[in-house]
Amino acid sequence: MEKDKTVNDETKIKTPETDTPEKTGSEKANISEDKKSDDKKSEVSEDKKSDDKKSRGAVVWFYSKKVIRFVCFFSILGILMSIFGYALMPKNNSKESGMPNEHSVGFYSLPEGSIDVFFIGNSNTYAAFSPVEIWREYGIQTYTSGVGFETTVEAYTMIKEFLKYHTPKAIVLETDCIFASRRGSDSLGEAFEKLTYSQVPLLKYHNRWKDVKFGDMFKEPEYTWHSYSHGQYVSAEVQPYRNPKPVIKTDFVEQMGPVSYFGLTSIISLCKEKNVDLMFVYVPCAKSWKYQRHNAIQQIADTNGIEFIDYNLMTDEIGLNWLKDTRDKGTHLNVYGAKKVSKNIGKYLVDKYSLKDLRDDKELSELWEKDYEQYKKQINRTKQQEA
Amino acid sequence: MTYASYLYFFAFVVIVYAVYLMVPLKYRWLVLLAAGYTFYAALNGILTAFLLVTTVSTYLCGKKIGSLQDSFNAKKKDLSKDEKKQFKAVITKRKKLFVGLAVLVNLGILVVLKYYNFFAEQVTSIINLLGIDGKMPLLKLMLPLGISYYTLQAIGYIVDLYRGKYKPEQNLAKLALFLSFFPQMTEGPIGRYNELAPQLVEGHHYSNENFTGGVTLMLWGFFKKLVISDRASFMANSIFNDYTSYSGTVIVVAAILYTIQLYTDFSGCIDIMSGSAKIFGINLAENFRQPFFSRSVAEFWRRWHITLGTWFKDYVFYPVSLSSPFMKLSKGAQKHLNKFFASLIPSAAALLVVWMGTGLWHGASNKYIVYGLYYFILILLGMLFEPVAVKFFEKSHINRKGAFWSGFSMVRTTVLVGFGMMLFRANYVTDFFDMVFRVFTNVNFGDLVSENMYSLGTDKHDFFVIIIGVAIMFIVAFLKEKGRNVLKSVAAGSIPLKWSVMIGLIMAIIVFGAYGPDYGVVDTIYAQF
Amino acid sequence: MEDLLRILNEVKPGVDFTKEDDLIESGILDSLSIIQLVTKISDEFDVEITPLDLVPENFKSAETIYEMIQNAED
Repeated sequence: MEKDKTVNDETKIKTPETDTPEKTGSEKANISEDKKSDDKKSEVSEDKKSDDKKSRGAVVWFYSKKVIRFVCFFSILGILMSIFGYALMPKNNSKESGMPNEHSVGFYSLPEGSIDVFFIGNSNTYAAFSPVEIWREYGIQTYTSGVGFETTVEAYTMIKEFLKYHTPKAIVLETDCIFASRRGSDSLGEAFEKLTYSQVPLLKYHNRWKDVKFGDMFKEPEYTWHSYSHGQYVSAEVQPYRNPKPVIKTDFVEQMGPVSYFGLTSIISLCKEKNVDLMFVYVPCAKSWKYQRHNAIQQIADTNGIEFIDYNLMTDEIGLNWLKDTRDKGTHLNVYGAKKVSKNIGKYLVDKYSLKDLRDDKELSELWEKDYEQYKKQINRTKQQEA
Repeated sequence: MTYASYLYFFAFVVIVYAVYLMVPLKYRWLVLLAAGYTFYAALNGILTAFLLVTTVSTYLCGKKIGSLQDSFNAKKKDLSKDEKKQFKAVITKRKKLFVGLAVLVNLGILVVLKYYNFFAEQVTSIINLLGIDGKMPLLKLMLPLGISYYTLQAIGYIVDLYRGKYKPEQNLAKLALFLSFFPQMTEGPIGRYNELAPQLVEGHHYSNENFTGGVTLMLWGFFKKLVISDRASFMANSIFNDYTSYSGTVIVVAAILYTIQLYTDFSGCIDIMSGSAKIFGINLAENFRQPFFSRSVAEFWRRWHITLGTWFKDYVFYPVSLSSPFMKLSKGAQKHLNKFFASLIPSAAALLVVWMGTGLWHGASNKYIVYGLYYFILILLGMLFEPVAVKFFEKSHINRKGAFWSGFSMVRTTVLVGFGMMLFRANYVTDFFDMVFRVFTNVNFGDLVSENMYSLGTDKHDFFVIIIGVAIMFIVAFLKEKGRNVLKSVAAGSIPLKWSVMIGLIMAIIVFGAYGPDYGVVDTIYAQF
Repeated sequence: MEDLLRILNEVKPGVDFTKEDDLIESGILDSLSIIQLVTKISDEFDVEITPLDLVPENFKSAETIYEMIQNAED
């Protein structure tokens, strides 16, 4: 019954379609009749056969043709987008080749499967976890991948990418990114934009038409750039955070944004699926940490059996000094703060996963030593800048 | 808006259209009404109440005016001429009452929300000038989206009813649709009831031509907005916000860029909206007719933001000019002055009202008043010099309609409009005068090739794209001026042609669009008015 | 009709109004000259021309203007 109705309607839809040729012909004499596609003419003739069954067949044919056209159109568009996307894609993971946030993807050039622990999150992450310090202290190999204002959805994509190259014992999610919504970025629009960005290379790299070299367009990508700090943002700048607010315990739970929550659950199931241990860490962040947020994360952690360490409640334990350990008045840690957090988390990881100390490996040690030299240099540079 | 919001809008149009086609022809307009309110409420939340107040008040007053007219028409046959005249006067008086009521409510909402704070500031400064210590409180007022557009539509409708142009809409929902059709809720065009409402209410079949035509027009609009306008905005902003750091030559570049930005932004958004309406088989009023081919400033305003200009013409200029005080003024002038000036004075006075209104329509600030006055003076000067010009052309034997003089007039108009744009963009009126001073005194062509020039948010590559984009637009506009509508021909053309244009536009928008982390997000300019 | 042609020539000298058949499209009359015209017409013919009459169709040619005046006289 209902089906018949739609068919009737469809036949009605057809009528204007069939009289378009005459209308357009008279309206725009400059377009010659032969330019019009033949299918339109055949529609006209088909329409003249008033046989019910046949017109029904014509309707089906009319619609399947529409669908075929749509598919063709979008296939051509899709193919072109992939070709252009490939042409504009950075062919190395360095800044010079156009890779955005190159420090977050320095793991590409490390030997496959070499990383034991992966730190992921927003700017808090790259400020607080120092793989170089962790190596020097415990001899384990870690990588820090942080992107400013990263959302959980982006973190998910990044973890997926990372797991293509490495098989870590644990993934540490820095949880500040869950509450990105409070900075107004947990809108569906943002999420959609960031998701399409990470999935469609042409969108992400479209602006590289400005500096892409012709010869590089169709080269195979080769990721050779090495991040000396293994992703950490190294800054020795000090801008003290005075008069820290006292921590007041509460039972309130902050609501997570729907998109953040979706990203977070995706991360949890991804880690389960790949059999990688996931843990949550909230690094000291005087500006955005709240007890309500702690409670919200604790809830998720408890229901999913995930370990959660909140350094905001342990500042005394790790000896954090807000007058010295932050580079921007409490928002981000500097290298001194990072060293304290890294030592603590390193010890925890070594104990929990009984990770092997690799400092005896001479070759490896040399490589890390080189990175350490550069790391020290950067510390001195930023110190001087400040002075 | 992020680039995603354009995609949303596109998705919204597609979904609404799918629903539209599924509903029986007779009820399709209800889909548009629901879509309009969904769209409006999603963007505006609780402020949708203002739209409802406007709709209901316009509906009720309109109906009342209609029934008054009906009662007059029913009785007038049986009356003698004098009685008829008397009765007409009574009816007109009562009709006036309801027009007044509707205009008061709707214009009142607009004026209070849009101009109260400006007014309060002026009052405060006058009080203080008089030595009285006092202050009129400022209110935190939210302006509902599109209020400057739909209010004008409502007033136009009511005034037309008063004039007896058509019969009132008896169905509240249909009137509500006229005032809330989603493509024109943000930036117009300002529609006329008799042109738009029948199209909205009538159900439209699917047509290939409308669909591809609409989509192509939307893509063309996206191209203007994302590829050209947003790109030009970065440099225009950095220069206008800090003009004292730049030479007059750079300010000229900024003025050109801003003119490009504003035109592509506004006309691009109108194209997107008209395109989306076109998909439904609905033709919105034309808002731009190649304005930069105008030979005079007056002509420019007949081709730029057309629906605003004609609105002011029909509902302000004509009634004001023909009102009894103005008629008296013109008769008085004819007695005391020579013929030429006598005919000029009433129109000039009415023009002043129009231009003050147009200026203030853009926003409550001294700047926009001066902006209106700028064009008033230019047009007045044009009128004053018209007799001189006629003589000049007679004596010099220059063909006024010839190619040379037309070209010169177009350039001259564009330059004058460019200065208008500078005023429009300037943060303060004083800034504008300062900038004009710099343009003429601080010339430094060397700046055009300095590296500094290209580090202001719009680099050399961007300039290249702007130039190519503007060239394409120029060709399209030129052909349209010559009577060939390229976009329409494409929509009616063969599949390879249609597809290559559409795919070409999409690829150009994706690759050359000024979106993403390298660029900020640029809001549309005319949505704030 | 002759009165009308005289008025038209006062407002826009040098145009042969008996021949022009689209005064609006050709740009001979704009809203300003229409107002001048209407003021004079309502003066000389003693008719009331309302804003509703001011539509392009009524100002296409001298003919249509004349028709409008006659309608207004009724």
